[in-house]
Amino acid sequence: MEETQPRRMDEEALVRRCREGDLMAYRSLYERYEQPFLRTALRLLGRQQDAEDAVQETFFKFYKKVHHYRSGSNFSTYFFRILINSCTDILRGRRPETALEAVPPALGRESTHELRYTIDQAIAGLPEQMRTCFVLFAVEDLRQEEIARILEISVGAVKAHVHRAKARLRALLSLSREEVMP
Amino acid sequence: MKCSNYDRHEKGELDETEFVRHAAGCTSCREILRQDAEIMALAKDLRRPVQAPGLWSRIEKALEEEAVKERGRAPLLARFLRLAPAAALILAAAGLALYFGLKTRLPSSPSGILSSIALARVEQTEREYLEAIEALEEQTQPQMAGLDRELMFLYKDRLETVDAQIRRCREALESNPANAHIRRYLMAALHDKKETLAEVLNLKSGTPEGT
Repeated sequence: MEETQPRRMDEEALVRRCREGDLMAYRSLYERYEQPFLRTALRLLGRQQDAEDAVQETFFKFYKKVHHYRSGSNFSTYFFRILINSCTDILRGRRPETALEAVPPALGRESTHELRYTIDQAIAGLPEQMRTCFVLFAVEDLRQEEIARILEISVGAVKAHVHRAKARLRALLSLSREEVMP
Repeated sequence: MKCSNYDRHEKGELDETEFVRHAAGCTSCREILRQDAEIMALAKDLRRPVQAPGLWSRIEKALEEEAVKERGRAPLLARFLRLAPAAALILAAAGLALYFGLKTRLPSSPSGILSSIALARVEQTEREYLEAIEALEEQTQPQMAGLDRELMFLYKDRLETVDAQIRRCREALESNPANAHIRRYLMAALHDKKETLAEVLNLKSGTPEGT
């Protein structure tokens, strides 16, 4: 999500209105972040209901913390951090047997639809932090520096996660092709 | 055979221009770059809209409930409680009556949109509140002027807060007149104002009745 200067100022104004208890301001933020949040949560949690719960929890936590938000900070980063923490809480709360499983991708067909399914499943099978880095970088188009701030890790660590994620996905895609053309 | 330059590039040891120059003559790196581009394109393709009907309503409800809880913990009310416990009790009772009264009076709509019949009923109730408030405002003016100074400021403060709430609701309703949640907020604020004015009217000798 591109953080331009006008967008940033606009969001600062919305946050000020949120501080005054203006529900319409929360609604405006929801309209902006609904899709990136739902997509990210869905990729991290794997279930629609959990993704919706994570987004709801994100707004609730933001409501509770809105007075602590420092103006001038990068709002998008701050907001995404709350979302990722909410997703992590949900993952931690799951019983081990219901945790997101590394589903082996359905390989063997090469239509775009099947390929999309393959990559989706392969992403779901990545380790948690690697998955988060890859989803924010490759799906949501966030810069690696921004991802580092969201996850509170170094840019080098983000790069390493994305690099490893790509290597794993490459291996899966190659395997897929080998099965089609032995 | 994998070329080590790709790993160096990914680790940031080899800059983009240098790596692209290298890949032009390296079959292994060129193939990896092609596959990476494919993976990134497939990942971008996952940016499809996710439907979540009713999610905003759930969030809004959760925030409203929290706001109600917080209002119960507001510092102004705490000051008020110290100054006039009886008045606080009346307010709490009025709040409860309002909450349960509105719950039964207003049909709850899962989508948050009022039907036209319900809207007409709500608007009628709103008019009644406005008439009552207008009459009360006239009557309370002399009473307010004779109040204990601190108590007068507390009531004025409270009325200003309620007026601001009413204004915000009206602004929001201009673009979304059938939103049940905002209507409910507005009714609650109008009721609050009416009760506060009625309370001022019942004050005797600068203190709430019964203290």
